[in-house]
Amino acid sequence: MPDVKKTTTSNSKRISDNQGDRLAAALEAAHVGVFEFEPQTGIATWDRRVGKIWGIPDDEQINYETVTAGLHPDDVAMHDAVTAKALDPNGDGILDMEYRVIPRNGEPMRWVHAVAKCSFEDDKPVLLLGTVRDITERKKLQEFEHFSPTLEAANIGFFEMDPQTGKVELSDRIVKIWGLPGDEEVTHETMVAGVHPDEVAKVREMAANAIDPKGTGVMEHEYRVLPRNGGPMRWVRAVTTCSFEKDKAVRVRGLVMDITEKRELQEYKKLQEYNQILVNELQHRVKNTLATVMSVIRLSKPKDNNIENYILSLEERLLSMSQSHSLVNRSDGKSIDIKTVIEKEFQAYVGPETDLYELQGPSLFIPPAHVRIMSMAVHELVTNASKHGSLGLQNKKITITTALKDGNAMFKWEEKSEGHSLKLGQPKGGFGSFLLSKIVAAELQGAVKYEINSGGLLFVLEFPLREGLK
Amino acid sequence: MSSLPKVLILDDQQLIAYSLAAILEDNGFEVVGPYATVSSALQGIETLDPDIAILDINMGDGTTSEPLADILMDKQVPFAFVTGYGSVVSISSRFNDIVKMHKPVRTTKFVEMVKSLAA
Repeated sequence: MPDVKKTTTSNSKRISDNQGDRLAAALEAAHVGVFEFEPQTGIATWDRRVGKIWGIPDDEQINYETVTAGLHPDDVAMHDAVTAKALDPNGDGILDMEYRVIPRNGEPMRWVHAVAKCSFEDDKPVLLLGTVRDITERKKLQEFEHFSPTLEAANIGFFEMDPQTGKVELSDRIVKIWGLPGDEEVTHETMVAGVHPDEVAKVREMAANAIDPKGTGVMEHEYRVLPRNGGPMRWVRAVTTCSFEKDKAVRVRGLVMDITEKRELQEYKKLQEYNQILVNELQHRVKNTLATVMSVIRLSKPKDNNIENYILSLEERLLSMSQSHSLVNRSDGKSIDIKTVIEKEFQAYVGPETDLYELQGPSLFIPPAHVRIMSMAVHELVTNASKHGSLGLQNKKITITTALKDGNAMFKWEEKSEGHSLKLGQPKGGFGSFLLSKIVAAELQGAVKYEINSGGLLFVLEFPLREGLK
Repeated sequence: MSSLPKVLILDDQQLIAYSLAAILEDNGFEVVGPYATVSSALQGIETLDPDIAILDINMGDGTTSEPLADILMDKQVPFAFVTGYGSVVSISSRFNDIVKMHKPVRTTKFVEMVKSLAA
């Protein structure tokens, strides 16, 4: 405690701002408050800027104790010692110290820098006159900088930006990530120029939101950076906070983490998972295809024990399956035009002659899951036609008609062969007839008409088709 | 059982279903179906009173044969799953004790399995 007379009934007064408008403006701009202290009387006075730091109303009278009551408990002893030294007539009368103030009105703690000079008369201190500056923000930055080596070690860069000018101060880590020369003046635009073109718009939007006084001032975002020096692309995660004063963004501070390795690991894991899904799906399809092949082998068992013929027809069926498999693969999960299926089956059998049949009606798009059975049906029809019917005669007697009505697809195959000697009614016997009369309609959950009449062969298949015309 | 044991078959891939049916018919079973949908198979259970059932699990469009399996359990009709690769892992644990066979099936094993269900 300095040796001063204490008084609680001092005639302390405010230092008014009427010291001249220019000085007041300068003090305001510098965030500097002015105080006076008369050691002999204990009278203290300060201007409203100092009062604001202590959280004390303008009209309250103050004294030395008011000042010390607002100090952080840990700083009181130091404050008193430094003040006492400044008041010591044997000293230089200079006071220069930093301490913490806990505002009485509950505002957050402030750091202040006080500078003062004491004047003496007759070896006695008479007036301590000085300034108090709020250095809280600078202190925070200093604390921040204490972490610099740790942040550096953690691959974390930090920066501070003035939102009004766009000027940016960077740590070395960020300079390195952005591939900057390190000696040039950096602005917000310098930073944005390093962002991956696909993400510039998003980064700008988030930066604009961050400095919007109506928002929280917090931004968190991950994006790619293309270093200006041509280094490999980096992934960064940026977290920034903006401070506002009087509804104006005054400072943006941020941490930038290089998360490239983490991202790459994530991508790799995602790729691995995706590969596993593909492998499982492939496994499923292969097994399913083999099950289908085994079914065809069993169901197409020959009645005449002609193994060579059996093998030939089996090979044709498998080639047809192979072809529809390619068709489905190339469609990339999309539905396939029934006309493409028909054309492929004819091509496989008779080459690219398109005048062997007449195709009427619209395109019908059938889902991949139904393409295989539809291909098999067309395959059996084409095979039968080439064996017994019109294809064998190279006549244009096959008419295929498609239609779509009320979500139901219709596929009609008419094979005219006047004066044929085939048995009338539903064809029986072979695998083809079985597939066409029973399996196709059952699998497509539709209805079928399959018969030989006096005019030739008629196959009409109707089945629900959700997608239909596209 | 005096008459031939009746086996209901449900598989949305009818080619495979008919092939399984052919195997069973060749081995002294009568086949109910084969059905391609759960709803048609349900009708089959009600009207044709099968002794055994063989069910595929995934019925396409993301649906499964589980509702039918529950009814079979209620009715105490023995059944087994004959299903595609990967479908077994997705099935509910309440069917843990049900026999499961992967497609493609080995004919002899399949017949053996159905016979054991009939016994």
